[in-house]
Amino acid sequence: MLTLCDLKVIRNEEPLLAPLNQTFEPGNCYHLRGPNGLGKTTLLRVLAGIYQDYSGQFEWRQSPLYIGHKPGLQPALTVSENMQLLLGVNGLEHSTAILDTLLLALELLPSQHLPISRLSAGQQRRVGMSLLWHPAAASRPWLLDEPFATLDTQISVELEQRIISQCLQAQLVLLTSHQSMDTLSAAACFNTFAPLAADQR
Amino acid sequence: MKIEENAWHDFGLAWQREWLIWRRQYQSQFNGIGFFMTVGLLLTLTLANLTILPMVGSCLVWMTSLLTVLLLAPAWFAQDVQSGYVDLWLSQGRSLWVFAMAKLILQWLVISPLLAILGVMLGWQLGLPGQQLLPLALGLWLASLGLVAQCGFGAAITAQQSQGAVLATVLIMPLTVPFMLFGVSTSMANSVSLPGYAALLAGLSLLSLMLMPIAIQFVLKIVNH
Repeated sequence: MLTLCDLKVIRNEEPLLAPLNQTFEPGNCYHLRGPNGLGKTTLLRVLAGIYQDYSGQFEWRQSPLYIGHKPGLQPALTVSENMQLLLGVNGLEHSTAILDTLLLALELLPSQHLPISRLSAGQQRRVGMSLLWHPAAASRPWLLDEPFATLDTQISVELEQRIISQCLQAQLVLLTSHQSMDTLSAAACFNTFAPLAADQR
Repeated sequence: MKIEENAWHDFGLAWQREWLIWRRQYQSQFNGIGFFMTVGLLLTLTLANLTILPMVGSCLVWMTSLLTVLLLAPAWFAQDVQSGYVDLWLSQGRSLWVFAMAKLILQWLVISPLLAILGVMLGWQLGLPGQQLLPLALGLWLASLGLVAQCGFGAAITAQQSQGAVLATVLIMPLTVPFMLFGVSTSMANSVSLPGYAALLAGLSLLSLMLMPIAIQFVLKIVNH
């Protein structure tokens, strides 16, 4: 569970969003909605502990997995090396067996020794999202910023199903997306949350 | 105790990544070597007939070394910030100063032998007396740790800027004055004063290595916003 108590996100010394008082229940997926520039990404970055310019309180029982708009890949390194580093920095086991499982699940096995820079934007995004397929990722909340951007239909549907199964395991998922999510939006665990801009209060 | 364990673990993670990246991109060091050798060649050709060359040669070697580190530094943090890796690092509550320290130490281990060897070669070309060459190499090896740390700070400030190299150079050069002054003195020191100057350079370098990662952490958090 995540509870926001009078959370005010601040940018350039001005509040970006109206104060947030909200409880996000585990077992649910919350779609943060709003126009471009509202501050959805900044709110996710606050909740991930990256952006420190805020007042108010929130508390995680378990540290969330955060996948941002830019997934932190190093162009000079191979797919396997990038995946290994991503898992490592997120505190997830990265044995060869686990890596092979993830590469297979995301259809990246043939490209595993290629530098990331040689992959398409969609394939790079898959590498960035790969930690969500890790077995231990199921025990942590997820914060996902535009997770479906550049993904093809097949992998997008798989990701939607993965998010649903994450909710079924009583975990919380918060995401932003401007893509349609037909499978996910039809699920019982799907909720929308539309924060207001500070001047719309 | 827990914090210490975490710091070592984070250092290991950062070191593993930096080592992998360096192995893939070691060619970038050739830019520095090429720059150093080109400047050295130009200095040797244009100043060959100058009678005071043995006296100012040491200063020229130190200036060339500083410019070489400044040339290599701007790329150190730009990729990490722009690719979102710093976000990932922060999202797991890891210390950015540990990340910065791993990067600086690896860069120093790579750069310092190059500077010491190339510095001696350039010093010899510029006609420095033979007894100055070993102190010159020692001074460059010791001071390069501090220079790398300070140039890393400049690289962090300009991590989000496409034309950051010039700004980093302007900001960092004044900070390097003590290294230049004591470095040149080390090169010209005799056997009695050499240990003192070397200890001073080592102390300055260690101080920079302690302080700069903390400053880099502070700056990276700001530029990453």
